[in-house]
Amino acid sequence: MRHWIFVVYLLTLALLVGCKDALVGTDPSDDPVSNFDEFWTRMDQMYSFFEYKDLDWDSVYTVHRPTIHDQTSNAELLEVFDEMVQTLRDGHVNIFAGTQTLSYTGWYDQVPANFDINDLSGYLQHRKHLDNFLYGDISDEIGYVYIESFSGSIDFSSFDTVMRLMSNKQALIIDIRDNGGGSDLNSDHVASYFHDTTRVYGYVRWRNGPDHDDFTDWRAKKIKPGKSRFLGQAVVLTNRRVFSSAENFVLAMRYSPQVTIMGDTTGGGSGNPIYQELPNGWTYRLSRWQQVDRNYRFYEQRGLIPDEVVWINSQHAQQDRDTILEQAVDKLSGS
Amino acid sequence: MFRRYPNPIQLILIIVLGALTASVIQAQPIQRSMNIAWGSGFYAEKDQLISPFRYEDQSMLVNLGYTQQRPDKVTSLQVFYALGSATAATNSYRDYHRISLQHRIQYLVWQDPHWNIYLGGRSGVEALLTQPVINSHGLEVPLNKSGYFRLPLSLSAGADWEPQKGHQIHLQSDLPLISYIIRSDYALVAPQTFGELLSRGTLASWNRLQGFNNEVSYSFQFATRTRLRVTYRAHFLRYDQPLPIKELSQSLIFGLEITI
Repeated sequence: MRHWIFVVYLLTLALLVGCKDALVGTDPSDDPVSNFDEFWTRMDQMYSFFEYKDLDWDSVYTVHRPTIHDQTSNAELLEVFDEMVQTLRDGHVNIFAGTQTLSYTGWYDQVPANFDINDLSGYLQHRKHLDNFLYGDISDEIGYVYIESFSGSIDFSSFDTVMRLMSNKQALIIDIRDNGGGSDLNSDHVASYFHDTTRVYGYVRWRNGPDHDDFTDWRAKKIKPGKSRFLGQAVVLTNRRVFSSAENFVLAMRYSPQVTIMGDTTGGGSGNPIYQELPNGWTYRLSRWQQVDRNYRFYEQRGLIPDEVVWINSQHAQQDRDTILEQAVDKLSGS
Repeated sequence: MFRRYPNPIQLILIIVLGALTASVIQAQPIQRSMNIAWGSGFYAEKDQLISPFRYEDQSMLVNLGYTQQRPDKVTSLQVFYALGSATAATNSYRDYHRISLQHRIQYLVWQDPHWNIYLGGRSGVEALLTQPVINSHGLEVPLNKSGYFRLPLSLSAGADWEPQKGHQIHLQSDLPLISYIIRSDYALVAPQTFGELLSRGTLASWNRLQGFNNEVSYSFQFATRTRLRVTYRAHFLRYDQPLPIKELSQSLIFGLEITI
């Protein structure tokens, strides 16, 4: 009898570990229907703004699913996905299919750019680049730094070097126009130069369940003073292409008493995205959380309205003048 | 073994009372031993919070432990640490560190000249820290570090078989009955992205296996106080909220056991 214990145990063990596919699961099958179902289902389970945007995702399924079958080509599938992406009206939702990227651009493509980097040369003295940062002098008292991205791949220790060079300035213009975001770690790093105390600047909550209104509790986002601080006045320049982590930066900066936000309303992208994979190897991303300001006001789709709204009018644009930068200089010069 | 809705408080009381009772009846000789082992094995993970694909790896594993054996009771503390980089068919990958700390108490329930059979419980901590990198449109997109922290309470059964003097085969099974898990979500790197997305307790039921830990080991005494041990270990974990995560690891571990 006792040896049976050993034999039965080994057989059971062999059965259990031999069922790797049953225990862990297999890779998904790669066909148009599986790809569609995977995308629709994951969005349904994880996307964070269905309720806020009053989106009927079930009806998206009802409309599009019957058009997908085994013979659906990649091009046809992409067309359907593109319609689904446009429905969500979210710059954080993309599908990456080889060289092709599906995006929603409605957050910026109906308004003037309010920025042309070539126009800066008329205003900047001693214009220099250090890695991804463009900087220079507007005058002896006013410095200028352009941050084109908060991407996680950028080494922001270079920004520290730029700020050391700006330490003799009495005022600073931080230009983030056309900055599409990146990492909140980097945007917080820059913002920490302009805070003298720890401040709550917003709240986030994660989608965490199958229902569209399943969320964690709100969690505070705080900005802490950096090891080095800029003590003078600062103006942050924005336009409609300021998005995602760049808006996180605007949010953190707007609560600093020494900072004014100037320019156009930002793009309105507040959902931290996650990358996901489809069975055919395409990838996509979707918003996982909701972020609000410290008064619990949403800015998804609406954007953050600056303290002083300034646009570059068409006449100035033709003359290569940057009205927003000019007004920032006027403000910091005290005129 | 399971009830459909086991009462966790009753279960904890039984284990605690059992441990107290046993501690009163112990005036027997104690044998203490340390073990150290190294191994490698297959690791498969499917975390649907991030991918429908299975990620696989040949991981390395280290095991350290201490065992205290009385004639009627065996207590052991074991630490397992594994690291690796699991890859999917899409070439996305995730570097991971897995650590498990297990405290097992088992009581002798049946004995003959060659067999000892034990029953008891196991508590412990299991943790995974992972850094996923998604291969997207030719770029490697790193996401935030994530993972889980799990406190399982398991039913344990073990058997020692000594077919010849100096040779021993040990069978060990653990079935988690209650688990408390904290699991964080994935996102692009941001300061607030690690932490308490979910933390809740789960109970085992007939139709939903939370996991298992099974081991078969053979040991050979080659010196008075030293044994060589080869262990095959299969470990499975499943957690379903908000989307299922499943892990299976199978390892072959070689080590020394020294009586102290």
